Amino acid sequence: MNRQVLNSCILFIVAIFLQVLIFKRINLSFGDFDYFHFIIFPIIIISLPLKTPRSLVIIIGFLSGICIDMFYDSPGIHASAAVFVAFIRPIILRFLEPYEGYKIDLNPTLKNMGFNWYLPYISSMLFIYMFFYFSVEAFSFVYYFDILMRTIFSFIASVIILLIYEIIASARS
Amino acid sequence: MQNLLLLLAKYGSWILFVILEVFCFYLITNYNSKQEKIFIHSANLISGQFNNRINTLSDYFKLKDQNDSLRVENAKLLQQILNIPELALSEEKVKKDTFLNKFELIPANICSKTLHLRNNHFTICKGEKDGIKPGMGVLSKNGIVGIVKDVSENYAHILNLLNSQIRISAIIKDKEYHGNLVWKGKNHKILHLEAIPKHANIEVGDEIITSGYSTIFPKGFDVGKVMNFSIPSGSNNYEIEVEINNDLYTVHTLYVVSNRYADEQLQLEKENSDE
Repeated sequence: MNRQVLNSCILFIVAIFLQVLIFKRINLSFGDFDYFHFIIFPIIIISLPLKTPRSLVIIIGFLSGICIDMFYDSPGIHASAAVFVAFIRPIILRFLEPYEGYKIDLNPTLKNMGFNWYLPYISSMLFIYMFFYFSVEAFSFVYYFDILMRTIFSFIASVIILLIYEIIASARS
Repeated sequence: MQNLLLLLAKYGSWILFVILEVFCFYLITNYNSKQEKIFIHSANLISGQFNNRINTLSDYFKLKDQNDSLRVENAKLLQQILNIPELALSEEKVKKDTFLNKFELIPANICSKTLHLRNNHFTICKGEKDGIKPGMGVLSKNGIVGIVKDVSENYAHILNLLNSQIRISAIIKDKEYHGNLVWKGKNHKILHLEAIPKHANIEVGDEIITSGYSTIFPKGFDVGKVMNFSIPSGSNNYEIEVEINNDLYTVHTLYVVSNRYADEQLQLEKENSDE
C-alpha cells in the first residue's frame, strides 16, 4: 500500500518535470504542418491504483493540471482537461472490465494488465484528454479542423512515447 | 442530516467534478482580467526563476552564435553613431535633443518562451527593477516582437506577435495607409493586415512599417513585406498577408522600448477623451 502511494508520488513529480523540461520544448513542425504536441503527463492519472477513490483521482488530476498550467502560462486549460479525464476514468474502467473482474490492488500498467487491455485503456484516456484540451484551448468549434488535426497527431505522438515508457518499465522489473 | 451525508458519499465525486470544472473555466474565461494577472504574476515568480536556471545551462551551447550576432549588431550601432554628426549638419533646424532621446532601449534575454500554442508568450529576465512597465513595445534587431503585458520585480511577461490578442498599428511604407496587424494562427511567418481600404494601391513586396500613432513603437520600424493580398467578396477592405522579417524561433536578445513621453501623451489623450 505504502509503496503504491510512494510510486504514485514519484511518478507525479517526474512526469511533471519531464513534461515541462523536455516535452514542452519539443516542437515538430514542417512549415504549415504544426500539429505535433507531446503531452505525456496524463500518465499520472492513467496509472493511479485501481482502488483510488474517485474524488481523490479528480483532485490529483486537478493538481497535476494546474502545475502544468503554471509552466504553459495557460491558467485552467490543462487543469480542466485533466479533471475531465480523471472524472471519466472509472467509466472507461467499467467498459473495459475483464470477465473475471479487476484485481483491486493492482495499478493499471502494461505489465499488470497485458497489452490487449492496456492499449484501448491508454488510448481512450489520452484521446479524450487531447480532444478536450485542444477544444478548450481554441475555445470555439470554428477551428474544428485544427482541433481534430492537433488531437489526432498529438495523440499518436504522445501514445507512442507512453507505450515506450511502459514497455521499458515492464521489462525492467 | 444523515440523508445529506449519504448523498455526499454517493455523489461527492460528481459534485467535486462540477466544482473543479467550473473553477477551471472561470480561470480560462477570465483570461484578460485581474485573476489571470495574479496567476501569471505568481507563476512568473516560481517558474521564471526555474527557467532562468535551465537557461543559464543551455546558454553555454549557444555562446558562439550569440557572439556572432552581437558583433553584427554592434557594427550596425557603430555605423549609426558615425552617421549622427552628418545628420546634425544636414538638418540643423530640427530640435534633435528632444527627439533623439525620445526612445530608450533596454536590452534583455529571453528566459522562457512558447511558440506553438494559439496564444504565445515570452518571459524575459528583466522587470520593474530595470524600468520595464506594462504596455511597452519589444523589438529585436530584425523587427518587432511583441508588447509587455505584465511585470514582476525581476521578470516581464511579453505577448509576442504570435498571439491572437495582439493588435499592432502599422502602415504601408510610402503610401501611408494605416491598419492593424493581427495573427490568425497557423503559420509562424505570416500576420494579417486589416482595415486597409479597397481603393488603396498596393503591390506584392511593399514594405510594412510601424505607424508610430501609439506610444508603443517608434515610427518607421520595419515589420515585414506584403506577400499576398485579395479582396474578399462583399468587403470594403483588403485581406493582406504580411511576411514578418523576424524569426521568433531564433530571437534571443530583445530590446524593450521605453518611450520617455508616453505618460505625457497618454495623459493628454485621456483628458481629452473624457470631455
